Amino acid sequence: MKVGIDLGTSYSSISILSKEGKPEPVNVSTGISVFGDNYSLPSAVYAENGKLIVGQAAIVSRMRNLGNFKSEFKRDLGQNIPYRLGEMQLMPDDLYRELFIHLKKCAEQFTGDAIELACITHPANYNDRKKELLVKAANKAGLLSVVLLDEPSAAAIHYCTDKKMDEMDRLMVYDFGGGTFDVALIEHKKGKFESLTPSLGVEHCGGIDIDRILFEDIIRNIKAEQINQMKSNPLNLNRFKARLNEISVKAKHHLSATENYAEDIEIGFEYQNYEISRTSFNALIFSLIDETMICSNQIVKNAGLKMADINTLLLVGGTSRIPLVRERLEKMTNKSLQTNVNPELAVSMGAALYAGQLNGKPKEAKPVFCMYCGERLSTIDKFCYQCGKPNISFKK
Amino acid sequence: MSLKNKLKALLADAIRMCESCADASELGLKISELSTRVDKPLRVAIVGIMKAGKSTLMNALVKEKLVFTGNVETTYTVSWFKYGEKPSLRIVFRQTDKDKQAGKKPESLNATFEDLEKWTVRLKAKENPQINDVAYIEIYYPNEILKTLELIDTPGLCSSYNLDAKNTLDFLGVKSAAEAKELDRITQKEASLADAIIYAFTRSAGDTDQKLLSQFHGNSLENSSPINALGVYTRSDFSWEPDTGKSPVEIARQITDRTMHHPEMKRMLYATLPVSAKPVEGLVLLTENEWDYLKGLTEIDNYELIELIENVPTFTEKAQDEFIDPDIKKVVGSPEMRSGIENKIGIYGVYEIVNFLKQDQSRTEILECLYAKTGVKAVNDLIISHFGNRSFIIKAQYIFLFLKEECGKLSRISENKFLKEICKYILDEIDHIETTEHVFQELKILQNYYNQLFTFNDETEHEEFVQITGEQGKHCEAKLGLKNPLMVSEMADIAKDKIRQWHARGNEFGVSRNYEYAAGVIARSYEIIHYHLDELSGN
Repeated sequence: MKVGIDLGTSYSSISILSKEGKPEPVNVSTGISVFGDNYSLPSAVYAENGKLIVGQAAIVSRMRNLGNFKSEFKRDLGQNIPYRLGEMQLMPDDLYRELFIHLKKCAEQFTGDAIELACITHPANYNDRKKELLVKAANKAGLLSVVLLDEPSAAAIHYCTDKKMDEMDRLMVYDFGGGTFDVALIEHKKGKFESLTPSLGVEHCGGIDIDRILFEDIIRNIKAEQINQMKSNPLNLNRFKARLNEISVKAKHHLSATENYAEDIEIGFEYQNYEISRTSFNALIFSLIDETMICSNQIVKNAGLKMADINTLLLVGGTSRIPLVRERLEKMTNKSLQTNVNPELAVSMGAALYAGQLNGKPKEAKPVFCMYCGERLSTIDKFCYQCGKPNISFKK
Repeated sequence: MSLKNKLKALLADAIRMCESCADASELGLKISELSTRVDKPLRVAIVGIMKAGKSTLMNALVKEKLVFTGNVETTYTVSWFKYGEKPSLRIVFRQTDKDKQAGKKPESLNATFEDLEKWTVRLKAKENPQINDVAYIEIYYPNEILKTLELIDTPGLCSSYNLDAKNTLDFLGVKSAAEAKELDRITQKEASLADAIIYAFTRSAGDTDQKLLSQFHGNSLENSSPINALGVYTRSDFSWEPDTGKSPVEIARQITDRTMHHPEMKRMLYATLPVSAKPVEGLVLLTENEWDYLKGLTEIDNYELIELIENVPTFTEKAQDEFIDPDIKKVVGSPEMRSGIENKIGIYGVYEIVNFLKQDQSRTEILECLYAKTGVKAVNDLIISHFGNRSFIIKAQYIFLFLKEECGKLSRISENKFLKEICKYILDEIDHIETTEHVFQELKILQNYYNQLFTFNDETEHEEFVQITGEQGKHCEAKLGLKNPLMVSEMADIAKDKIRQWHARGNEFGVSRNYEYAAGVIARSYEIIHYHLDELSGN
């Protein structure tokens, strides 16, 4: 079995490549939390009695002992002073290893098959040292055959499964994830994707920040004395905080589909009505979205190009589902957006596809197109997985 | 390996790599320029509009009259004060763009210290036309302060004489509007020869705050951030009224506090302090006669003294006969004597010195007291604590910014494969240093804090933040805020406690994301201290 693994700042996921050559996400959830879902595992670790638990379970447990919890460790990879989680000392790559172990286990349980090749994605600007650490962490988790691929290319490969790309087509990958924003410009060259200019990004600019903005807005609507009442009992306050977190996430998702969101919030024995329209939601998040727009403009400028030179705009990351993001991007780029990919899972699915193109060992596979239906294949595919007809470019 | 050694190793490697590639020679030259700055004392430039009292502040800081000051716009050239065993000068001439491109070194001339006036004062321009070609003057002087800081005095920014304003802007690496379009902010910043900047600003009676702020507008501010810039409100004694019972610095503090509430100021400056530097500067220049005269003034009562110095014209022009009170008449002296003294120390200086003399203090004691009371000491202390303890990290950050910009650009536009390799190597190494050195994260939260992206809940939190980020020193004790050294295990316990506290603070109800991030970084800072202490104690 071949898999693709996406390790994000906030969420991680794994996709397997089915026998038919289709990427398929795996349920990796470790519990119920407003953060993450069945296919998105929060990149978080909690130390409990000398053992490490990951994902939703870690997030839920964190309030018991904050010192035993760690999340957002992606940017620390390469640091040489360990974190202290409870009594354990762990390096950032050790935490990565725990995520790998869990993802591997889930995929193998799901298929009953062992992983023969894993394609792991990394940010486009990762240096060789960080890549090496990433591979080592995967090795320690029992993933012995590993290939690396940068995140924007993975998303682009996934996009190419049902859209044809011309030679020298330029693609902007706008990745608005849970914790960070990244944008990359890549060019389709001889079936491979090449970066046109170093990718750019904004830290602390993602879905979590939008949740936070909504959270703050909700609090503004609650009287101070009601909150102070809560503060007298820490347990109540924690529960209240968790409830508000939940409402923030719910409101965010809701407002992507509807114009209004309303909820009666339980405070002690009272109820407080909270209502927000999409217009006011847009006003709240405007400046955050603005940062991503500035960044996207900058990268085009860095590459010495104009917006008109970009052929395709690819949206990745859950936060890119927000209508305001799409509206503003369409306005800025004057292009219709490509929404055929699943933004949360595009990277891991693309990585799985990439793994599928490689023949067992890390090896360059030449991409070709199916002469019957135009599906993008590689020379190692015997049959086209779109129409099932034989691939005439197949090489043994 | 310390950050300094890592940086030095990176620069040395980069220079070596550039030497072996013809296309990289330009990059190599720029990097060697940068590497010479690593070990040098921090360079602090004093800038501001004309007549803002820059030179006076400069003299007061070193407690010596090094720079010529006067009633009209005086300073003509950029004067760079460095430590030297003997006083001497080196005059560096401006280069034409052609010479610059050809990579020629600027011409320079050595001169004796006595020639200083000839090369720096505007009024001398007629006698010495060569002054127009001077880029800056290096002044070597045996003063202890110059061992840690190099001070740079600059001509006024919106000077009526365009050329000297250009001197200042050139020195700060600020380009004209047309040039600025070509270069971006970071490159401009790095082109600057100064590591840190003190903005001297002032106002005349009746100016609004808005007008005051407008003094900061202009090109040079592009370069400032709260990390590398301080504001100093000079000439606080300008409109001082003796009968208020408050010192000019106390009164001016209301103004500076207000200006620091202005978001624009907060974005540019670390802090603003009021000073009235004139009495400190003038004290060293008082003659024995003038000194004796001031001693004579101790005979009269305080209210009489206040009457005498009520305003400048009374003090400097009123003839001896016009005074009615016999006590005053006896000691008041000639208007010439009075105006000579006023010229040096101002009426505020007279008031303070006479009062100190009444307490039987010696001249050196008075200098120290005035140094503190006029706010000059506070400026000096802040320069040392804020810039001094962070001087290296400020420099390192500049060097990294410059290299990232330069190498990023080269790897985009260059066709040379080897040059691209060099750039990739440099960028990767910087990335590695930035991830492994936690101090860069700390700098980021400092910046966020000064940019008002978050605030602290109370004074304790703020104090711990300032300590852990190294404002009071880089040692473990200073970072943990300990007055007396403790046992290693005791310190480890304190650090452990702080880790827990900051984790909790970051998770408190309703805190902002930036606060949470800052709390995380601070907790990590304590974690690193704890790790090192743990290693020491052999656990």
